[in-house]
Amino acid sequence: MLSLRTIFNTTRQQLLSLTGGAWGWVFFSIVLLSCSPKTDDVFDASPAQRQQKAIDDYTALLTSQEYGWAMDFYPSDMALGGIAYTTRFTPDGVVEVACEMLIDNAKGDKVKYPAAKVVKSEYRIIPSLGVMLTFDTYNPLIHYWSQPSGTQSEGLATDYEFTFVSATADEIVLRGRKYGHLLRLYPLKEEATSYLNKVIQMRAQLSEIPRKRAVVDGQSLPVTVMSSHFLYDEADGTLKDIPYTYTAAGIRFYEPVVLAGVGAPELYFNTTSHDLLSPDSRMLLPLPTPLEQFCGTVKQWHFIYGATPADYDMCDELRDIMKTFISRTQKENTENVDDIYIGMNKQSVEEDMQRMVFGWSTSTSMVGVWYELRYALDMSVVDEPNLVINIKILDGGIYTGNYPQVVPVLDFIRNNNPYQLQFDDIQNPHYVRVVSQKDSSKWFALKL
Amino acid sequence: MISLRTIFYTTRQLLPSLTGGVWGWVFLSLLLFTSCAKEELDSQSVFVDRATTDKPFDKWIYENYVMPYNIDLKYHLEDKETDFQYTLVPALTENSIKVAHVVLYCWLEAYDEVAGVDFTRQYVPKVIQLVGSNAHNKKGTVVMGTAENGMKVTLYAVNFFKTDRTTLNTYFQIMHHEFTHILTQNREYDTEFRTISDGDYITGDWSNKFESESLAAGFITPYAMSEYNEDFAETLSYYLIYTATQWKSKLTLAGEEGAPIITRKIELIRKYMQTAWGIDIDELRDVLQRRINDVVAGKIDITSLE
Repeated sequence: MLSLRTIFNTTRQQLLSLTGGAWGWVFFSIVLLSCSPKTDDVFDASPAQRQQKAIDDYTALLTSQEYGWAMDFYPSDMALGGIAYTTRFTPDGVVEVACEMLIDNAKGDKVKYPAAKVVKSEYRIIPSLGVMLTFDTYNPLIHYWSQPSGTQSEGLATDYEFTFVSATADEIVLRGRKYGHLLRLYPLKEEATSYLNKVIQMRAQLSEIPRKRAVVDGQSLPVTVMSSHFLYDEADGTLKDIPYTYTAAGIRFYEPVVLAGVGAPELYFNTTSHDLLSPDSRMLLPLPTPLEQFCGTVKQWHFIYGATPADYDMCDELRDIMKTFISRTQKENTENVDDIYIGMNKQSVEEDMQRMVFGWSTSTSMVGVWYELRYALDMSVVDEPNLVINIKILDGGIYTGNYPQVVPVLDFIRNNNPYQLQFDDIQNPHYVRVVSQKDSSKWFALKL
Repeated sequence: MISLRTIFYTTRQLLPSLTGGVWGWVFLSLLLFTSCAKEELDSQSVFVDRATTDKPFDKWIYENYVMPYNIDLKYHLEDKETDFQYTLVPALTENSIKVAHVVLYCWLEAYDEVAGVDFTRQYVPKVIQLVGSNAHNKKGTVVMGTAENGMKVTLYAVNFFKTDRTTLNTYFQIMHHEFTHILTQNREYDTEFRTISDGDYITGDWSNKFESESLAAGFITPYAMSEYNEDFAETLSYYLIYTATQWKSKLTLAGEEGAPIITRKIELIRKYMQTAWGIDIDELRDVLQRRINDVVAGKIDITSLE
């Protein structure tokens, strides 16, 4: 085994022969010392000074807007899309926050904060793995989404601490510290309350009529724009889902939508044509036709049935199928079928992302106990001038395992596609007869 | 390809002729000692003073916590001051003001009154962090307060703060419990205390026990069953927040077996507090109870920042 001394002596001999006696040692010293510890500074100031300058710059920028900022806030898992907030930062560390939606019971105190109400709290811009904006005293509008409880120890999994990503006078981008969602701020040109009231109007107007078609450089492409989500198929067939926030001028995306190679960060609402248009006018989402509106309805169109055969507004074949479905549900599930419908899911988007469904509601003899069952559904236009559509009911219902008796109803609808629609009033429909194009004896009626 | 050995040998041959005897040494010395330029130190510290806001509450904290006690009362939520396992929300400032008043009146000034301000200054934790929400863990249990090494106390649920007796007892039980740890870490108590319930401590299983079971076994709470230091802190803290009547009723519930054990413990604690710190725990309890009653009765203005 080699001792330490042996190793040292061996190394010394090798070095001496290599470098040549005393002069060799001197030369070796030069080699060792010739590199100066002094290095050129890449930056003019120390890290702490540069960080402080960044804090000062961000503070100056945030407090520079007279009316504050429109803040696109994407809480939780983004199922709700974006929520329009406004924030006005003052140099003394106070932030005035308002929001387009009513915030209710933020911390179990049953207090309601109406939409557009301004609530003050404090903020700080501090160094923390970069520079961080933190809403660090309680504000019910902000911390509503983070409030932990016995059943939700992480609250609604939403950040209130954000790291600066980029900042200009036109846009500030931050990223949530824990959950990573981007938070974007845009300068407001009017009072926060005025802006939010316009947002509320815009949401009401646009959410009423989902869009199903985009026109990009003249090319028509299928899309689904509803419930604060913009859905479309990418070139490789994968479904792209981009949430958006309503603004005073239209909608603004969490990330740009790219259709047929054309990108759009937001869409403006044309109050005359009711179209949605990208800033460069290359992407257009026209006001849906009545047929498209039916296919993307945000309402429930109900099947018409009742206690006697005369109450069934459908062909005899479907009537018998329906009757069997209803009576078997009463007998086997001990539930009454109170409603059967096609259209918008009665469950909120937080509970179920699937918005269009074939659904039915049942109730039991126990007061207050009812069930909402549903299959995902897609309705698409086949022949616009002749009002022909396809109704596609997807497999795999939600909570439908105990209701095999519904399958014949689904099969009837699936097997008789496509359907021609006969509206009572095409501009303002309340009743529609859905008639199979293959066999006009197969039909059913729906009403709002 | 030129090897490293070749370069060294070439240099070895060149150097003697180049430098030549004594002058060579001079030349080399110059090389060695002057090749590094002296670097001027930056006159500015890397620690940059940050601008501070002078809000009324900050000023009040400075005058009532920082100056008299050197305590940093933090009402802004700082993630680095909290336990990352919890999702927390910040404290509502108006509630932080109330809690700050109550902690000052019922805790700090109570010890000032009984043991003198120097005692309080020396031993109270130097950081108090206020948090708006409870600390909920995934098991469904809730943490109301924590302390770290006698240096910091974190008080949760500030957004639900009320000046009723139950809420105040919850807060101050935590404060007295943690403060007891600080005191016993500074001056040890009689080891006889450890022997009273020796063999009955059950570490992590305490959470499965009901209060009636712990009392019957000679522990004031189930948590006191975890180990003797916690037993000591629990016994004293509950003795202080309970009225004399409440304490007696707990002893009654403890029964013939449990009550003498608890009484034996509190007697040792009484002796320790008197001899080690010169504090009469009955006097301390009277002072604390009076002050808490003042808050409950609304006699103290807990919103003013004057």
